[in-house]
Amino acid sequence: MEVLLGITGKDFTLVAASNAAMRGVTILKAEDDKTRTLNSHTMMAYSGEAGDTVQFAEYIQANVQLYGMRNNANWQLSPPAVASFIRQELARSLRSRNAYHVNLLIGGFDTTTNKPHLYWLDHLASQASIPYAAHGYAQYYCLSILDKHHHPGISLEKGLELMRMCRDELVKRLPIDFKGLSVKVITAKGVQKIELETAT
Amino acid sequence: MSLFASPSYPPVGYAASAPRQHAFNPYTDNGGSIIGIAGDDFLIMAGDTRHTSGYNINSRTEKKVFRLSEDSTLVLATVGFGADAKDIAETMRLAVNDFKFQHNLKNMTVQAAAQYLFTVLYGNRFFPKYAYCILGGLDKDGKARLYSYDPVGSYSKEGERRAAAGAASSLIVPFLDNQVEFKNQYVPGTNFTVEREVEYLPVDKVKKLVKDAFTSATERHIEVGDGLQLVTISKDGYQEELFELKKD
Amino acid sequence: MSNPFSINGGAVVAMVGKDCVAIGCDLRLGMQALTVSNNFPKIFTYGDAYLGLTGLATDVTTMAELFRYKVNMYRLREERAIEPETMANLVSSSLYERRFGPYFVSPVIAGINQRTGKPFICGFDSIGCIDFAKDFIVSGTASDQLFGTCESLWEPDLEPEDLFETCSQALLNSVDRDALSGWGAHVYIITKDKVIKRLLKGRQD
Repeated sequence: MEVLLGITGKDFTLVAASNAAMRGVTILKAEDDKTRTLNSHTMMAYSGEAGDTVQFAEYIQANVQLYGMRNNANWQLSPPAVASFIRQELARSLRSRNAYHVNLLIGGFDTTTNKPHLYWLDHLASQASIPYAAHGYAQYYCLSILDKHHHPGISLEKGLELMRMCRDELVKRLPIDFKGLSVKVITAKGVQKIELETAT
Repeated sequence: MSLFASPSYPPVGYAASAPRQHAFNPYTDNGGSIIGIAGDDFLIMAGDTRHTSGYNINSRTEKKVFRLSEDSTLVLATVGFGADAKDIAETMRLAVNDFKFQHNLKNMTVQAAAQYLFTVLYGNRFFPKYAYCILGGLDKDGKARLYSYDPVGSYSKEGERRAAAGAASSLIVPFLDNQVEFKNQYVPGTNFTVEREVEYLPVDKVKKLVKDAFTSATERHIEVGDGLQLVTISKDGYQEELFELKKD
Repeated sequence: MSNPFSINGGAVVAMVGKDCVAIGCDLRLGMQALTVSNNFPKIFTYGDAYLGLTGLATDVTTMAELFRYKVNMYRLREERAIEPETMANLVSSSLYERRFGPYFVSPVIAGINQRTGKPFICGFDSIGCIDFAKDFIVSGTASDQLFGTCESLWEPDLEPEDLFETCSQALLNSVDRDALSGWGAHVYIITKDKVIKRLLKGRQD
């Protein structure tokens, strides 16, 4: 019951992940971070097979950062470039004997075009660029909420409000406590953690 | 497919160690397709006349549209497992005939026949007759009525304007959506805001659509072809025409 | 359900007209019954050749990118655009290379040969067998429906605008009867000196 959520707006991308590390019905950890920052304006959230997730995420993180070091600080991978790279790596692994079983959301903000980006990738490396996204059970509960309330030009406040609506719905409907969401926002200023006020 | 081309016992295995089980497969798919289209005061029911088992053609002249009595407008088209399809048609024919003598020579209404066909099909709920049915006729006001059924009897009492069933239904249905119900068609000049209104089609136009649908289905589906049985029911009674379809 | 060709859904159709061709695709990307995106085009352009890809979404993207690479290399080597017929053989051999571990895609090519001016369409199975058709090619989860609509609506020597209407109606009415396809469509109408790309809204269910 891992939850991954992503919402874009006028000048930001929000990416949220549940805090619970689960194994079957047991909660092993209540403050698990299922996100990695890749470079100054991109991050990814991941869910899937334990072990595969962190291994793949850190492999990607290391390679994106290596690219950053090899190149001029003003010439960094854009969010679409990062997403394409990740998809290619995941697609390559798919045809191997031990494929990574990882689902991803890639959030970013392109500082050259001032556009937010959100990519949805599943464990088969199917990629879609979409205005809002979810993985796992959150898809069934949250996508309908976002279908109704989301607009491409929403403000950060509205984005956070939508995130709260999704969180509250999940708390209400999911049978297991996912220990809340860690929310990160990507804007022109970079990646920042945001506290989502607790449910009333 | 060819393994179950006819109702059969499974082939006997030679492996001595593997446990063998007796099983009888009571169903076959004999292919073919049927269409029914309701006009205002007439009805067209049609079916191809090919009867298949797997890749074999058993008959090129087996009709799928049955007239339920000589003096009523009731017509039933069935497709699926040929034996079950014929049995349903015979059951309905008997029931319509019986009804007449039980009710002072009054014919069964099309609504009553529709409900009765449901009873027949649902009566076999736990050993279904594997046949898809389309039932049609004129009501007491002379208006065309058309009903379509799944093998266990689900049908809509409101009836349909057009129905298709059988092997090539997936090819025919979207064509009929477009040409009979004018789906995805808009009134020119309205910038796609006003949908083209559905209207009853004249009989010659409907016949043309049915022939087009079957020549197309024949072209792309191996279980459809040989002949087209086209039945027209109107105030002038029952009229049956036979057309050639490709035999390859 | 576990058939890789019907996990994500999608439909592509190509048609020949009088000195023109049309190619159209739907826009849905799904995971089984859940729609994930309604903006996932399945037609990709490579100079004069238009490639439609249906099947497993990951392989659709992989193939599209692989051919972008291969066609760019071809253009650098030959200093000219690739002809649709050449593209067909490139697609065929690339697919057959993976004969025993195929990409789960059903490609379709449409285009007009700029040298001869002749319209060209063709389709493939997932291991590269080419289907050269004179009329139309269909592929995807709505292929049965497309065969029905195309076979009844299409006629020879349609003018560009009539071909566009025929192709669009065939596509739209087919995807409306397939739960895994739809959510809008792209249709390209290609003549020797002009290409028009149109976005069709279609039913959003």
